[in-house]
Amino acid sequence: MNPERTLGEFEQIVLLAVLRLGDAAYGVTILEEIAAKTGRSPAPGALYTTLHRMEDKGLVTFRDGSPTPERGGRAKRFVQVTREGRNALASAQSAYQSLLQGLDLLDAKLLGNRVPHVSILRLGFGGAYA
Amino acid sequence: MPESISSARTSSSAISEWLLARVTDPTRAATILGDLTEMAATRGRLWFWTAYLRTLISLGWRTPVAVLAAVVSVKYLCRRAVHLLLYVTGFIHSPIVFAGRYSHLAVFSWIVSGSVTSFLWIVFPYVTFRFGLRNRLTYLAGTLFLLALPMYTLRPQIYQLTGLACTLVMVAALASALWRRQMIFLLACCAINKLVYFACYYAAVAHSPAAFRDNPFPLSLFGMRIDDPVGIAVTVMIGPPLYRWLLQPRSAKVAHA
Repeated sequence: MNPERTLGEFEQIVLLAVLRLGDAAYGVTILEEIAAKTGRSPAPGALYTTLHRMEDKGLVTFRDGSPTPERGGRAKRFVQVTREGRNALASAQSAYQSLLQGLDLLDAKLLGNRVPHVSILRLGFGGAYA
Repeated sequence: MPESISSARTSSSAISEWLLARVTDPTRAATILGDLTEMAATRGRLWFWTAYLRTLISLGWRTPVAVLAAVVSVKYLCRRAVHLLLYVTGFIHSPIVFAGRYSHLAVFSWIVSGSVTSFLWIVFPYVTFRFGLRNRLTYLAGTLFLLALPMYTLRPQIYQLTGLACTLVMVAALASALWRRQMIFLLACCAINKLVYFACYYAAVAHSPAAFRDNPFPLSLFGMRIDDPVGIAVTVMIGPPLYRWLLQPRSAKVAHA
């Protein structure tokens, strides 16, 4: 097993949020997407630590945007998931899928219309959430 | 950059960006501050400064903790571990002093094991905290360290074995595409460490030969023999840039430029 390609819980959530956002994924939108979909607000520091670590591992790359006044003249850096990032995410998610099979945890009747606080998402967050 | 945009940066935000760049790099610092500034428009100044401080701590805690771990390792753990190994093997009570055998293999193994352990007492705790546990560099440093550690038994058969084992691991790492850069990092760090130490040492000897006549290690700093603080300082200074240069993916380096 490659130690640098195994993904933590929060890394998987960030990668999924980046994939969902497509070309519009940068710090602010990623934080908003995670908050909207998981019902929890990650601390910005946790997001940047995770993004930088994944950049060092080659799981994501950055693309510079243009400077804007509302950002104090600083440019956005858009995040893109690399092929290695997709492979690592697919591998981690397939492990979850096989573990979930037959458990009916994601049954719509059980979840109702609430935002799904899936227990698996809560595990391992530690200090990642505010 | 347009004038209206560049003038939007205040002196306090320039200072906070500079401070953030000390714990990450300038490009990342500018992006983080840009994101926080954008979010602060709807959340207020208090939120901005709280988020800024928490981000600063999240990104910056590893370096001071890594330095502290290296200091604790060389100042306290090293001496205790050596004493423990010598005691366990009975060497303290019955010194065999290399058993009088100075074969080429024994000398070679002694030099390899000695260099690996003396260097990794500093670098192994440093890379563990600075770059994390799930990192090939930490794995490699830890493996070499554990392999070389039994040399402190000072038994010829054991330190010959540790020297050979370390050499095999180093050669295998250099031959492997997955571990080569990590091994080069460790070798380069070790070489620079030793070079700086010997340069300081010989400069001190040249300056005051009388002080070194009776005691070859008269220099100390913070209660440690001088080579340890020099090693820690060199590792802290060259470790992160060397890591960035050798071990960060090409795309990340281009993005930083």
